[in-house]
Amino acid sequence: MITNRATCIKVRTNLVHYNLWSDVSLVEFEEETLHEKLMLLKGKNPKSEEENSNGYDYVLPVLKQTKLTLQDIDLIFQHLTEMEGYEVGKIVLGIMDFDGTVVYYNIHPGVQKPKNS
Amino acid sequence: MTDQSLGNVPVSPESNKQLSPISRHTSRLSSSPSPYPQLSSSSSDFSLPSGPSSSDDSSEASEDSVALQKDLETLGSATVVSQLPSLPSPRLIFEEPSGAIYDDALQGHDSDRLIPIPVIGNRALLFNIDHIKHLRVHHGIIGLLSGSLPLAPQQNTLLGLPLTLSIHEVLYLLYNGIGYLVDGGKAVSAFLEDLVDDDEMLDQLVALFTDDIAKQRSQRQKEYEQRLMRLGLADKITHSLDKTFFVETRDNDGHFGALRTHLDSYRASINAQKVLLSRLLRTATNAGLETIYQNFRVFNYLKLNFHHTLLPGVRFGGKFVSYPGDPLRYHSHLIVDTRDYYNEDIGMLDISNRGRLATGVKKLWLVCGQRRCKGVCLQKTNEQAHPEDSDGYRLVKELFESTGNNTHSSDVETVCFSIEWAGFG
Repeated sequence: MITNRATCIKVRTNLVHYNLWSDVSLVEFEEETLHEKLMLLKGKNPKSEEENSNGYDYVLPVLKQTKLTLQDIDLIFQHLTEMEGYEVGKIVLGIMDFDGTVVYYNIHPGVQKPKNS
Repeated sequence: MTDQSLGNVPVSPESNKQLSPISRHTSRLSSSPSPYPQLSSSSSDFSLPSGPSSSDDSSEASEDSVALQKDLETLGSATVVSQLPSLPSPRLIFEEPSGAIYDDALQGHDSDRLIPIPVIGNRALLFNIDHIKHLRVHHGIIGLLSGSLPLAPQQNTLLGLPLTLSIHEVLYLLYNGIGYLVDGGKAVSAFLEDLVDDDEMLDQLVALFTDDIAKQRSQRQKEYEQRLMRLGLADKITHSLDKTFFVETRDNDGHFGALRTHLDSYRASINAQKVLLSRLLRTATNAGLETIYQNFRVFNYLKLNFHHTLLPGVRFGGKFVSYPGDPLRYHSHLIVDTRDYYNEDIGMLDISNRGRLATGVKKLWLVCGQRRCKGVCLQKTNEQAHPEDSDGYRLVKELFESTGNNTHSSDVETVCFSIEWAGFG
């Protein structure tokens, strides 16, 4: 189990009210290889520097103890790209601890160059 | 002085004592191999008729030499000699410390122009400066300089030859048909055996090192005089022979032309290669073969597809750190780790730790795994156009296929994800 609705809602609250994201909506799809329903949040980061992907970022809300494999990430990228009709170049992983702390990490497919080097 | 200069040649203390030119008059070996430059019979290349082979692998020496012996019996000495007919007889000693004898090896890496990688004890150690340069410039293999004089601990921050290669680097060189393994201790012992038999050659060797010292001493004297002149103390100049100076050690095995004959004899023997590789694998790391395979695949992938240079990653808590070129010219871009693509949890805490650290030092954390290809794998997996022709490639392929894992190199591709802190939260 990668995502659940409760985590989704809490991370969404954090995004909207703490990080001031706009236009946040829920994206749900059934992943056949993993046999489970996945939920992602789609929204606009006001501080985002990138201007591609229509300004939308995708957040995968997970708990700290969630198990996540490379295959899971790979399949999510494939699914999103299929659904949206363009190459999704970034997933934001929102990791939540039991006290409500949420930390965010960018995941890019493939070998990237670091931004400021 | 000769002793010291030779001290860096890979011989065990005993055999050095026994065979070093200084003591040649007292220790002529009774069982003499065929004289230089005729190619010595192949069996004497590998197993010494008398004397210890190498001190640090004495326990394994016997079983290794048995295996080698067996291998050579099947090959037959005639085969070995007949495979090297086109080689010009190399000169024993080269005045210039160059890899001139190996210049052909520097032009590329077809099967006849491979770089010998000496295995001494359980390490792969390179003593030829030209090979080291070539590997660094053309193949991005950095290794680790690890030579030091035990009595001069201040040199420990600035090490010299030999260059130690990591297990991944050795596998890369074999897999991509750049090098082949050589039993360094035995090859050098065999070379020295040829040497003790030939007074003329020994005199050449001694003369070379003596001249060298005289040259360095006069250079040192000149510098000293110039310094005093500059200070206006020309009248204080003394001519003393016992002035201390730093001896440039002749530790580059490119000097020893005849060594090549012995190194070459290993190329044809795939069984000898197997024995040596297993010796390296046994102590290279505590990890199992499967882990080494995973890490090697990633190492190979980043080098071939992105021309990155990889060094061990402890600095940043990863398996490797990856540089977009020579580590002396660039900062590293990636901290690399591997996970099983299908089953292994990446770990949220690892993502948090490594992602935060990587971003803090202007890098990315790269997690890699091996995915089974859905169709034909398009990823570049080898430097060679026809890897199947290379002994080294087959050796490494066989090794990993024998582990029983079903992810053969041909039907998996490397998948990576770059992870960084998002900049908020």
